[in-house]
Amino acid sequence: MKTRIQGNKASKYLLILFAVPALLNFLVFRYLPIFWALRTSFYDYSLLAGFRGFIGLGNYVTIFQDSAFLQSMGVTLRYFLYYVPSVVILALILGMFVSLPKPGVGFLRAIIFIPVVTSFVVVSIVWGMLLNKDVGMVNAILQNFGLPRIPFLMNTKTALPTVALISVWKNVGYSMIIIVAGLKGVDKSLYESAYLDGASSLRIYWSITLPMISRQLMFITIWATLQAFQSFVPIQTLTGGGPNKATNVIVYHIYNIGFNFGRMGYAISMSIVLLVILLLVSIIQMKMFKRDY
Amino acid sequence: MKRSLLCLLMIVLAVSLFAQGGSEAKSSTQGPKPVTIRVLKIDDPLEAMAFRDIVAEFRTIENGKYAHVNVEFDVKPFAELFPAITRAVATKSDVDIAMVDGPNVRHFAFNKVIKDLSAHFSAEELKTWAPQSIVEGSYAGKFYGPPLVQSAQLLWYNVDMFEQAGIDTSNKDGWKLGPNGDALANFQKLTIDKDGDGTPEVFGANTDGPWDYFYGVVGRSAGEKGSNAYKLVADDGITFTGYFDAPEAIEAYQFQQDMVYKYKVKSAQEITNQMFAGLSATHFYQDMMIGTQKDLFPDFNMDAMEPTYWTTPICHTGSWHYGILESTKNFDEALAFVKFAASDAGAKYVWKYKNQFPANVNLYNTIDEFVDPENPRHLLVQYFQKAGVPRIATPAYTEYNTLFTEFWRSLMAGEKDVAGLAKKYAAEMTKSAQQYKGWNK
Repeated sequence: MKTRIQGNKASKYLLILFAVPALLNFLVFRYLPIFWALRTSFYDYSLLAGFRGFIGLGNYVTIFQDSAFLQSMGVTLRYFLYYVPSVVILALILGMFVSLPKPGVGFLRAIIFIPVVTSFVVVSIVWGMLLNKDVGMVNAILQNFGLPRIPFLMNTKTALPTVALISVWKNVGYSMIIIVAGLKGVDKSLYESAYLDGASSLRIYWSITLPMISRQLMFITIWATLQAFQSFVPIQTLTGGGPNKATNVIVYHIYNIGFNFGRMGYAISMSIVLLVILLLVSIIQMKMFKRDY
Repeated sequence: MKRSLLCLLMIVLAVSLFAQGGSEAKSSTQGPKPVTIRVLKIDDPLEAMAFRDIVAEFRTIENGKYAHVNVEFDVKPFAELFPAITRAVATKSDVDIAMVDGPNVRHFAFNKVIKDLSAHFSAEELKTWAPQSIVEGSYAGKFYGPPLVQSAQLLWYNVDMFEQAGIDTSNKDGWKLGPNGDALANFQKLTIDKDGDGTPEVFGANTDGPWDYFYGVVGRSAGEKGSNAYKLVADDGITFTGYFDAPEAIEAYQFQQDMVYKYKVKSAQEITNQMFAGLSATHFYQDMMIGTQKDLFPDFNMDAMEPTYWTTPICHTGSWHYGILESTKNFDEALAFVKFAASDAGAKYVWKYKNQFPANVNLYNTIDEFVDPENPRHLLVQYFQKAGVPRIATPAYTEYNTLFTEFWRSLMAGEKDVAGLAKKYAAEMTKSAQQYKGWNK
């Protein structure tokens, strides 16, 4: 008995020992920078000029008086509304489709996944060329169908949905694979029982499939939310936050303030606010999924 | 057997270690300790070849005085270079030299990132480079860094398209902009909309990236020399209101927008290699057009003329400068390298591989392409001397250029209230520059 307890203790220590490198990595490269950033947010700080004085909550007070921050958060919220439901719904549909035992679905799955492993900078540049109003292929096709040319990225109304659409195309494959993995884990006997009880396909989907993949759904929803709030590459490559700040999402705004306007302390304080917002949104989303399923 | 093998291995290792230590000890008695200087620069394969040769020759000058100096290059894409320099300073990394874009010299000098080199360059040495380069490399009357290259722009054109449109290619004078100017009439002649659908297959004028370097001259050219529009920013370097949005400048911005939406002689969005791809008849650009033509479109029939203008002919000058970081621990070696690289002897390699307009006056005066009156590069030098001006003198250039880019994108997107847009951005530029108040005193 004594030996067994000692053995358990030893394996516990061994497990901790194995976890130490990963924990150190998190501590040094994740948590310490967050604490450093939190401290810096109370200073007037610039990367070039260094710490120029303690200003307490000054940066935080400025945030909520800064119309540019509020405008940028508004843009981010709109982007979130375009992006997250599109990714989740499309991932569900595609995940269901490519899980069917049909020939060619493996190939289709690979095709949908390819954008995930390509560089976002490269695909953004390619999409920029395709969507060019005057010489882009998409507009040439539209014109051949007798439709007017659309300045996708040059119009304040269409620029943000267009960037969101490109991001959905780029990232949906990852969420789809998560859904496929979830679907594979659903016990087939549940479906058989439901069929025997005469349940309709819709009923089966609603009452069995969705609840059984709720963890995967929660994951892709939170993942997509994080991506929506942290979108940067397509904005920088395609629109530069324009036209007229229509695509000035919060991370792009923070980058500009920190690197191009030399106000890193203020940029960091905006990042801290964003972190709090993301934590709150993630907690709400997790609670919603727990309540529903 | 195993034990003896192990012993043998140990002996071999020990001998090799001693041998290494011995060679180190030997080398340390032969000359100065090796020094490595790190250079943060733009990622450019042609420039990399030039620096390979520059470093090789640098190590042989003055009887091998700098043979112990190694030069390492940390390269970044253009868009990442400025943040990379900023990061290098913030993290106190061991970068010794950074390539600084002309207009950013003041920004880095103001923030004490780069060293004042005034004491290390005599008045005679400063004559090595064009006066514009000295202005661009200076801040508050002090010299911070010699130039790597220079730049100026011309209006490059497709000779065949000009001839088909009946435009006289022998006249190299710039066309006047405005609703009644000859620029619009000629751009209209050059614009081709075969199917009449309102989207031309060939635009008379090209569209490039929305940066101050290209389009900052629009407002400036609209003013007389010395006027607010021409200056673009007040003499204090931080007031844009009343300058960027001067009435003549607004008129010029409006016309640029009209070229896209009203006259349809110009695309709203940037198109890569637009003229070479046959999608525009002209391209307002630096002499690097010649390099692109030689490398990628050798059969393209291209020539150049002076750029279009409103009231005052103007083109922006300025390119990369060498800046020695305040934090360097190898100042003497870094200075020697910078002096050599920027000298005629070093700059000739940059010309050899990169083929960009040298900042070294003696050098470009000895290159046939710049001397031959028939060559477009000769016209480039003439225009550079006649109308070349550095970009605006402000330590807030990065802030200004970021906002200018936003402004230009919105203008090209068809923003209806052009005057309101210009005033809004002038106010934002002024606000963002206030942190530099008193910088030039």
